[in-house]
Amino acid sequence: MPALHAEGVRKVYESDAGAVTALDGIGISVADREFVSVVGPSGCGKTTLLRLFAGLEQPTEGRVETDGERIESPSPSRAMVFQSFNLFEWRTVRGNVAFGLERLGVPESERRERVEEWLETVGLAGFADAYPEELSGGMRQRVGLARALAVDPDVLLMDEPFGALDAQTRALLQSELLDLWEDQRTTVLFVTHDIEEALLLSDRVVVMGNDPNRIVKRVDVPFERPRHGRELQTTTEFVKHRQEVWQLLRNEQ
Amino acid sequence: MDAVHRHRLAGIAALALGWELLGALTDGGLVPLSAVLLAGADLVLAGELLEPLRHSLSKLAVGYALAVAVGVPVGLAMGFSRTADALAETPVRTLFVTSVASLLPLLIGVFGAGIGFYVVVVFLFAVFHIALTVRSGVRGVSDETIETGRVFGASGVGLYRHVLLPASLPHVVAGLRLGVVRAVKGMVVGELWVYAGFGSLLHNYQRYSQTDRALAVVLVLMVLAAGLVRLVEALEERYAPWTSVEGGVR
Repeated sequence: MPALHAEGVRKVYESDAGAVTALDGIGISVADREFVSVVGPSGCGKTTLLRLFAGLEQPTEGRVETDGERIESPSPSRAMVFQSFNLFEWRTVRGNVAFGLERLGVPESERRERVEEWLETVGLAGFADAYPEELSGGMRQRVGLARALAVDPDVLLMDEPFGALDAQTRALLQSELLDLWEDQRTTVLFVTHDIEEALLLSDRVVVMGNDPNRIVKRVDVPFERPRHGRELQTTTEFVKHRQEVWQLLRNEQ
Repeated sequence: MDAVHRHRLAGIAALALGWELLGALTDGGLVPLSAVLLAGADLVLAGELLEPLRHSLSKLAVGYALAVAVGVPVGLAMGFSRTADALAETPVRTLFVTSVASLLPLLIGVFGAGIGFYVVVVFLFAVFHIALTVRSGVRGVSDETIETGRVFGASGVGLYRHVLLPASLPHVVAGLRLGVVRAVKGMVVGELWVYAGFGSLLHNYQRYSQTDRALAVVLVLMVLAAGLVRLVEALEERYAPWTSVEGGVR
């Protein structure tokens, strides 16, 4: 049974300017422990798709499921990482990572242990008592990642998580995410507009198109793991795939 | 001393110098600051301020405490619930724009000139400002923050307790700060009306053309209000420390 599954999904927003169709005829499956990226031009509805899987919105038509069950509301078992980090500014780094565990009722001693472990993993052990306001963008997103992984989610939903970072920090966090994923093999649905990022990280890339907002193509990514960004990105195979996706997206502009 | 403090002191010094110069130029039309400060020192040494302080502070405290006890929950309710907002908005906004000073003759008719009168005046001066500041603070909590709370398992009462309430705490403090300034105003206006406390001092000095002393009382009231604001800010630093951190590691 796929970890995430959507079928015949249509999402229409009512606005003052009339109805806007954000998604139409969408079908997508993400297998257990699979890393799938969704790429597409802005406005193609890729973030809406992620929000449907998060349970933050309901489809106008069709089914959105996790492990065969209809998704009706948000749950830490489908933890999210956001483009603008969305950290709780009134909580310290430690408090942010602990938030989900507190809500799940994890006992304090275990909570403490897991939080410290994750802070160690993302390299923020020395900043446990800092407030988000005091951190750089890259550090904030490491907190966002630790907060999501600390609840031990079945699925990780990532909404352009590195989109707000500078190129160097982005490359660094991508490689950290690759290592982390080798280690955890959590199911990931990753939304981005960066083709190279999608090819570097995923097992499969879903290309979405604009107007109407739909899925144009699914591309299997054959590269061996573990992957290393700089080496991989210069291979002819990678360049070929990049060209293919780029061409698909160009036709959609 | 850092640059901010230096600039702050320079601002105060410029104001003081301007006042002093203007006093000298107008030849007593405006009492120079030095004369006001001397008069102030006289008042303090003669103990003339003790009686008004004793008279005013307890009423100020009771009126303000009541305004906080009513204004904060009403503001929170208005911010959290559309129904509460619809119910309370018109009355609260109407009273917010009403000049409380114009109600004084009416209030004195109802409450007499005793402690009840001051408490009500202070309360009315502060409560609507507190409620509306808190309300807009709660309304200002972003959808993203709320959604993030929901994604990580906060729902129902937990969403209020663990997300909305802490996220709006800085605005609650802003309401308290505004409220304290309004409360001091209310106290002075009430006292001017019934010739009591600081009000009676101001009236007396004015009557006998002791402008230096009257202005010294004004300065004392300014210092009082500023001190109370500082107190609220100290509470903020203690209970909402994240509002004052910035620029650590970037």
